[in-house]
Amino acid sequence: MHSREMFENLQIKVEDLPNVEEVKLQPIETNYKKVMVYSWMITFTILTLVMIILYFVLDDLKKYHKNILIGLAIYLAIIVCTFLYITVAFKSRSYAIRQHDVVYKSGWLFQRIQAVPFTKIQHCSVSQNFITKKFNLANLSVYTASSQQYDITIHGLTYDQAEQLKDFIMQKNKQTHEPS
Amino acid sequence: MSHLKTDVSTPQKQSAIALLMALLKFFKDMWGFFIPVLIGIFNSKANFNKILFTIGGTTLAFLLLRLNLVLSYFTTKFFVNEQLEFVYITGLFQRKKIIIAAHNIQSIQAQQHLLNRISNTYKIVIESAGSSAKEVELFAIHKNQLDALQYLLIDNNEETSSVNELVNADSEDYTMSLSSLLKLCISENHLQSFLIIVAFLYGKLNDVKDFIAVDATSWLDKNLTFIASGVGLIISFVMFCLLVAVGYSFVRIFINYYDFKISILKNNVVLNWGLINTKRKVISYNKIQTIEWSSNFIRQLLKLAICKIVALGDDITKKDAQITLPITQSDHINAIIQKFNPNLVFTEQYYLKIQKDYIFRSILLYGLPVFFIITIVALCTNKLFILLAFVWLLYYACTTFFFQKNYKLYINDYGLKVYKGVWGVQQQVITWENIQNLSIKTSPYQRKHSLSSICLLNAGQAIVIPYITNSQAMHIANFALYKIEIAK
Repeated sequence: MHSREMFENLQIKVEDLPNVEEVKLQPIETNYKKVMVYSWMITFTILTLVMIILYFVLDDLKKYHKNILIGLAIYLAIIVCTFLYITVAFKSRSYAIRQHDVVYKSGWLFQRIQAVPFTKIQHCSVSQNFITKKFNLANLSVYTASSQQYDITIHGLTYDQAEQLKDFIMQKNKQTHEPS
Repeated sequence: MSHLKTDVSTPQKQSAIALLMALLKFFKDMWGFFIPVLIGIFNSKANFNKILFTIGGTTLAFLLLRLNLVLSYFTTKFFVNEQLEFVYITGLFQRKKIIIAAHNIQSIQAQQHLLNRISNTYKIVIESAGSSAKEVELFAIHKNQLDALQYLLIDNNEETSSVNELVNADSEDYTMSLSSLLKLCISENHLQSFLIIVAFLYGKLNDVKDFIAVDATSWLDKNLTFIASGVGLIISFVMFCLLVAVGYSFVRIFINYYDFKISILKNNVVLNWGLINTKRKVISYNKIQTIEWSSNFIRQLLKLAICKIVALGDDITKKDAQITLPITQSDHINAIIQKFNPNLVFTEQYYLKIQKDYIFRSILLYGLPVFFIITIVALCTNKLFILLAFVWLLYYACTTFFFQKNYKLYINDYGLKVYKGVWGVQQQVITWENIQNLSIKTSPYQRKHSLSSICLLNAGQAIVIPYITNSQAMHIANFALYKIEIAK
């Protein structure tokens, strides 16, 4: 019933395996900080405009001057915290391409190191929006067969870098699937 | 292929029953579409011309929106081409062609609703990897067409013509006895069943409140106040609810799992179940990502478990997309795991535990904030509700304590098994080579105490191992990457 197979079971010492933690990670482009700042500025501008319109349209709101002032103070505090967070969190984004996988580190308070082996990559994509385009930056997304919310997106690469990495990753992916 | 009774290499149409089904669905949808319009007319007291205009406009809109349902019968064709690809063509104004390679097909699910059973046809759902949605749905095809599709797309390496024949020829079969079915009914979550009934009735009552002039909320308020006025009435009410819930659970389980059979074949596991709507699902072992089985407190006593097979591309958030099987003997699970990967045998003595910090951090981060919110609400409304806050905190503390106490992680060269649970037991088995990507997460507290949480993802599910030491997390991550890379 069972077919005869060459069976190999060599012992591997765990300490001999390449360590994810020891990877020298490369920081993303400094211009990406500007992209983050502009993106949040647009978001906050739209929010502020909506609030101003609501204030003038809804007459009842004018009765609650004191509460509105408290709300405004909280809103301003959120804006300040967001921009402070951008400055700090930006530094924690870094990535590395190793022989067999892509590693991406993100998060400032809650840090996360993700690793995706080339052999499991389904496809890669390079994307730009009007802000990243202005700074000649792009995002590189790496997709696997797992749920998409967990796939890696490396933000803040130059467009050429992103394209080069995409080609390199797909080349590696192709090599790993070729019969040896 | 010559032994197949139908040649599916030429474009095929569905059975005429599909047209009848489409018409029934059309009229069912129409009913739901017209009710609000009729209610509107009934309440507005409009003149005849206005009523005629409204009904005419609604009919036209409905026909434009849903006529495709009926027309799809005439425009839908399917076949298997020479490259062993399933081709599905549909649409009148906008033609749609779906091509799925046989090796990408994750499963073909065959179901028989009442009309299918009368006409001896099958409704089939074809699911492929890379999409959690139903890729193709055919409402009525003949049995010969189904057998041919299953042979060509799923079993084409087998020497038999249909799954039925395969089951009869060489398979380990497990059926469910009546006593097991009863045990399963008893151990159902009756509270959940009761809430489902209440939600359903409440929704229906609200839907027709304009016709019967009864408001569900005020009716419920009035009657609950009356019931709460006497202890006897409360007890009778609780007993009545329990009886309804148990009755509903029994009927639901009986209809769902009647004639349940697991057939373990060489390459696939075949599941058959159902009383009114009979279903058959074929899953290839190489598409299985995770095998998970769990028992609540009562099911542990009755030695029952519910097994969930997560296959490639399954959406774990959609309950109806999950394959759940009731397991009455532990042999069934072992048999499936053995076929999935015979090396997934774990030594019970050696396991990893999560750190006790998990308890305190979970209480601090999730338990206490909820406690404070309930307390603030209680102070603003009714101070008696503070008791509820303490009950919550106690419950949450117990939950996290038992979770940490019970959590065990078994690892071997081929995969890992997670054993966890609070009031019951849940076990998950995955292989290293199926892991798609992994991530290591740390909070400031974890960094200070050299702890990490690791998340391993395969194509169906995420396995999260919280609060283990940094070195353990790194060993697991490095070993997983090594195993994936050498597996290719």
